Amino acid sequence: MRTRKTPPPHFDDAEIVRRCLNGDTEAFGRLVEKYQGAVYAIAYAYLRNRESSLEVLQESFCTAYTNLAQLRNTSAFGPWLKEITCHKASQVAKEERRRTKFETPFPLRKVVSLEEARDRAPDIDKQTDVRAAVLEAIDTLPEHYRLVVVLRYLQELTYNEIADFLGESYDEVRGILQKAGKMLRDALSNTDFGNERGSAWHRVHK
Amino acid sequence: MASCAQIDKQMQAYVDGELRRSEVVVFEQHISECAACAETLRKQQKTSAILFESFAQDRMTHSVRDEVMKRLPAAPLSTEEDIDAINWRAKHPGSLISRLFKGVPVAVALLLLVVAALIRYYWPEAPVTSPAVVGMITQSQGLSICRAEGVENPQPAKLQHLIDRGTRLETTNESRLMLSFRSSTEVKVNGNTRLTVHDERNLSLEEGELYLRVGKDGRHFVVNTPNGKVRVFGTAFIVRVQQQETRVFVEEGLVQVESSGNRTDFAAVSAGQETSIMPDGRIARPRPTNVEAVTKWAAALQPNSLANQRFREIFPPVKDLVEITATHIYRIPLVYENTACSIHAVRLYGRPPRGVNSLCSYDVYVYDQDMKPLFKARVNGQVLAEVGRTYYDIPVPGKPLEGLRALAVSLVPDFSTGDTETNFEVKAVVLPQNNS
Repeated sequence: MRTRKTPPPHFDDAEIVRRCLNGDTEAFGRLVEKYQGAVYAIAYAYLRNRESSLEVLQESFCTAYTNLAQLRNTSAFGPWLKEITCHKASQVAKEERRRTKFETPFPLRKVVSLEEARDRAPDIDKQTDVRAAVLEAIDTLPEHYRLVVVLRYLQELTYNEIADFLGESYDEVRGILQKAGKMLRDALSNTDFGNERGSAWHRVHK
Repeated sequence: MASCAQIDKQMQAYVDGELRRSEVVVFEQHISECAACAETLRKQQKTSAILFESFAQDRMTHSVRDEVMKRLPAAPLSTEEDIDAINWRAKHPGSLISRLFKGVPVAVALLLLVVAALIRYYWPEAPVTSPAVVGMITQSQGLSICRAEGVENPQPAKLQHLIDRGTRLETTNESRLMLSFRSSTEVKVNGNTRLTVHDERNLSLEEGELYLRVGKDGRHFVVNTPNGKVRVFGTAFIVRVQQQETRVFVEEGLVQVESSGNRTDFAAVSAGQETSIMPDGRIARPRPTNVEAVTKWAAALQPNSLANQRFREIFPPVKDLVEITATHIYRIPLVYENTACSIHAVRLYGRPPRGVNSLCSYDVYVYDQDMKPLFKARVNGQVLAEVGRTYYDIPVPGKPLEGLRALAVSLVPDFSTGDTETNFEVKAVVLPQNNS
């Protein structure tokens, strides 16, 4: 690797890791900037909850930073970070499952929140239904499809970004999203709530 | 012309704008010609829209870079353990709790071992309820030897060691022992002593010196020596065997001493007196002595408080003991109007109480007015209890007794066979002399 006096705007992970280990804390900020969405999405895939996912994101970056010297293959920072995140998220998910065992069962909570919500937003009912159907459909996907799907649709990562982060090839990611897309299409397009959402689609694909 | 199947495989990539330019041209041409694929594309687009839309509310839209950087730890220097632990946990899934529970079998086994060791440590040396256990060693000074019956190897006599029937004990020149028996009897063993414990009321002293304080429980206590027998009821006394001679010093109460073997000498020794059984079985007349001088060593030997406490736990003091005055000496005046008379027999009036299963027998000792032994006899309890009997005559062996002013009769119940006592009235059977 060539040494550069001034880093170009897009220099690779190995170079940033090297700079971090040399004491350049700010260089780590670039990694955070680059991967925060992906880490958040991974955490969200496990937790389905904004606050917990942000907490896991914070912890994952801290762990990665603390243990950066242990990273053998410095160019594989993404997959390494992903492993850390998966581990932390699954731990938190386990704890939450244990905790929620003793909480009000979900259907009841849903009713309560719906009653509260209805006063504020009349169409919340519909939105919740769509969301529930989407999450249900995603749950039916094979396990290794789920992460890719959440990375794609939650944080709108490109195929390249996903492949980079997961340490997989572009074609693999494209294949997974194609198959997952077909499954979700079959699961969701037959429902009627998709029809009046044309406007939303147009907004996304403008 | 691309097939519908090929087009279907590019559907998602087209929607996501990830097709190459050349692919896009082919794809769009097919869609414009194939209504079915156009419909599929519409559905695919709709699905993508729904997916983006439904995740929108939780999408992270602002950068958290600054927050993360603020909360980073001090340095990216790490300890090996951290990452190793993460790797280990990654390879060995399972929460900390579940891994802890994997240690439960080992922990339980260890706990059981500890409990077993504790139980073994605190377990009494022999079952306390066993009738074979008669007492405990409550003090031990120096090295003494203790040998249970049927056991080859002698053991050092330790504090709180339980004594079974048939146990032999030996002390050396410098050692002292103290034994506590059921029925609250204390036995202090001087140096150079050998004895055997037959039961809690019966000892054999081969050699040496014992101080005994015998509790009153209605049975006699016997110390056998090589040439005699010392029988007591609740007294304190010393027995010393030296060179085949038995010496008895009495501190309290009354002690019955008799020789074994062919001789039938006997003596009643009261407090402050001593006597001795000679090697040939002859018994010296009891004479006053300084008992305090010979009991000095015994007074200095006191039980170990812990051992004594444990002894009290194992053998709680028995209450409501039958306290008997069995060594009571019946004195019979024999002076009738200055008339000399000869005595042919001693007559006992009295019957054992009815309904008693095992009747005790009596040893009868007859002395003259100066407590000089005359003769002894044994009365069977069953004979006393015969139907219709109101008295029992003990004939005087040999010639009738003459020239006596009084008779002293001591009745010693043999409580090893029974547990009752008969109140007697004792009279002498006197026949008028022929020449009067």
